[in-house]
Amino acid sequence: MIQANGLTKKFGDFVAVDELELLVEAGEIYAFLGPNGAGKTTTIRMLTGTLRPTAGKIHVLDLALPKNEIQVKQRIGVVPDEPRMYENLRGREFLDFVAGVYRMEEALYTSRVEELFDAFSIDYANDYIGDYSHGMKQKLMLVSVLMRRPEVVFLDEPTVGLDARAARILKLLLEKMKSAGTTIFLTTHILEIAEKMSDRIGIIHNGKMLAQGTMEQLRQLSQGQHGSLEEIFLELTDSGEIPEWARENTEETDHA
Amino acid sequence: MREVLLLVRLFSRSKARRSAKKKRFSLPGPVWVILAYFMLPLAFFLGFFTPVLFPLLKSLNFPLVERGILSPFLALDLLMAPMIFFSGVMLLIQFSQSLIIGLFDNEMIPVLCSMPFHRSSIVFTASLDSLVQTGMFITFLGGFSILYAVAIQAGFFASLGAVVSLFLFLLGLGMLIATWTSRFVGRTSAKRFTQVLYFFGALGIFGAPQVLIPLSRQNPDIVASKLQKWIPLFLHRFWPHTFFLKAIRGDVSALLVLSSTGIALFLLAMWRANGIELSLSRKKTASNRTRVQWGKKFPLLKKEILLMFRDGQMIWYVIYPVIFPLIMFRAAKESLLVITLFFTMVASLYSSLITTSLFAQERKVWPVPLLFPISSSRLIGAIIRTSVGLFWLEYLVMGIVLFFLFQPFWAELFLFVPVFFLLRYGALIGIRMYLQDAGRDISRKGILLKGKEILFLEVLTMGFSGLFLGILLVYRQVFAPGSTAWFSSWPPWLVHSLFPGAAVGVFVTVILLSSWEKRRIQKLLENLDNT
Repeated sequence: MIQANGLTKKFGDFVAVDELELLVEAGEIYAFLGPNGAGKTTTIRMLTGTLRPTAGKIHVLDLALPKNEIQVKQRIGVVPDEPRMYENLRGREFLDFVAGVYRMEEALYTSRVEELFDAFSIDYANDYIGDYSHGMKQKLMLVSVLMRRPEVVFLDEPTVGLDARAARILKLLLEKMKSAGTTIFLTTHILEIAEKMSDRIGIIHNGKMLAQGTMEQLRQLSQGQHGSLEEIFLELTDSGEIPEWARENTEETDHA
Repeated sequence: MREVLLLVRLFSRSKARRSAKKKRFSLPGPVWVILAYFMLPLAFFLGFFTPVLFPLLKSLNFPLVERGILSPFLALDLLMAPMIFFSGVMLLIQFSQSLIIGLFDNEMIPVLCSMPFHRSSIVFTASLDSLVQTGMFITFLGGFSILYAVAIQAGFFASLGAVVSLFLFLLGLGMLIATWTSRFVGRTSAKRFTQVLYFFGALGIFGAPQVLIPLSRQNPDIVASKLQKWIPLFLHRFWPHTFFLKAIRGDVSALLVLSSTGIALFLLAMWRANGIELSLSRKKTASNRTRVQWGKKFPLLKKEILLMFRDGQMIWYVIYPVIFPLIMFRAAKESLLVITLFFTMVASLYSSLITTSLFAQERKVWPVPLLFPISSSRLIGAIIRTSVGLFWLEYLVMGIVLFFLFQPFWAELFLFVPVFFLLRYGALIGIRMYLQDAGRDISRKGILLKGKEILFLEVLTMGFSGLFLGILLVYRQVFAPGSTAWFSSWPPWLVHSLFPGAAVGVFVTVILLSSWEKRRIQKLLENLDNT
């Protein structure tokens, strides 16, 4: 469903993504993890046809990118890391625009949008986007993607800015979409989400894929049989020692 | 006070942009900001208003009673009252809307609110900052007051007291309006409203000399009798500007009423400011149940039109090319060709500015536009079509109306063809120029292109429009009855081949340059997709 071979992106001398190998099967939730600046967003941008790779091959929905960029974009949905939208449009107008671009049927569009508005408690769609908070924009962006029910969904840090209820609704919706056969590719810094929701996890660091597989496979790789994803992640990415003072503080609190 | 000074320094510094280049001599940032807001209106006031208005005011400096009109006012009060009233109202509205933007669209405010500052100090500093942005109306209100005081030879302290009291009154009232309207006016609406108001204010100010000049040529008695119908409307005794005019003339009770009301309003505004919720959260206005009929067809075009008409500056760009030829109607000598020249010179430049502004809106949400199943070139194509199409439509409507009005030479009806290509060239060159530095800073509203780039745009768009239509104008001049042009003596075959040939040459150059610009845009877009 999503396949990348030898995927590389260079910005001048800087190698942002280095010969990445990736395979995400249909109907799978794939969590793509990595520290800040690891190359997650760059990879998503290449997989969604918004950035040309320096080298390597990409296939999404069995269509080669960037050759079939428009056809692929028609069938996928992307929630970017920052929900940027036209500030001078109202929320509803933005959704109307998206529906128009994807040629959604009027009745289907109306019913799905109402459903999602109720789910995410959106009651501000007639206000200007410029007046929204980050979380409100994020919810609207999610609605604009989920209303189309795309075959593959890319979500770059989807829970940032969402309140607890909206984050829970999103997780439930993703589970539902997965059971309906949608492929989901998500990045997150909340490792608990990745651990609980994903079928497989990929960990990228300095542009290189360090490990990928199921939670069990990752545990075996890190040689810690009972380690949590957080421990595996820190070990694999070699994020450095946790300072002693931070540990002391935690231990004191735990003790108290 | 220390708190206010600290905040003023912080606000003014945040306005100035840091320059990478070190200059040998440079004015501090805030001084540039103040100069930018006040210099142009001041130059316009001194250059256009003062020479017309001051002699007119002097000539009207007589009591109305002397001419048999039962009123305690002077004849020049009839002229000053509406001018002070309108500039005061404009100042009030623009100031209050700017204050809403300054308080609710400023990332610094939540940070300042978390510090031990009084809310009133933050609101007061933001109001000073907003007051600078109303430079045009302050200049005119102040200018009118000074001209009035000098014309009637009013006392210095009475005039100063009156002016200070009026500004205090407007400042207090504006702050109260801002804190009250911020409950239901969002920052986006406030921004748009402020821009629209600014441009309409500018239009009014540019148009005012057109009214004043004919008045200045008439007998003062006739002017006074013409204006006397305004007495109940503009010189009602409860209007603040009526108190203001009386105060300048030395009426102590009027000065006391105006100043005490001003101080009371200001103190009330400060008291209200301490309780204001300075949160960046939205102003909840409506539910989302209203259906906007977007339809499936032309979503890009519809989006561009909505974005265009929700930006005050772009609305100005759209209407000015029509207003400008109408202002120059007399100078155009009822000629479709001359009006086309005026229109195209302005519209081709504005066509490029609109396309850059619309593209800047796409860049603000980048890479979201790339996520849609639309190629970058189609996206740009929609922007160009919107801007060019709108101006072309304007021209067609205006051209058809004027064609029947002036009944010019039939061939002039076909001017819509070159006008289209000139507009298209303007749009293409604007986009290309923007794309050459696609990562430019667009955080400052209204400043998308550098001064050098705007100059370059002006030279190319206005130059080609002026050249093409200018050649045709000269060509037509040869056949005008009684033409004394130096080329009237040329052999007809030379005139018939040289001028149309030159015009065709310019036209073909524009088309060739347009294709070249299109190719360059395509290349720049490919680079943009790769970064």
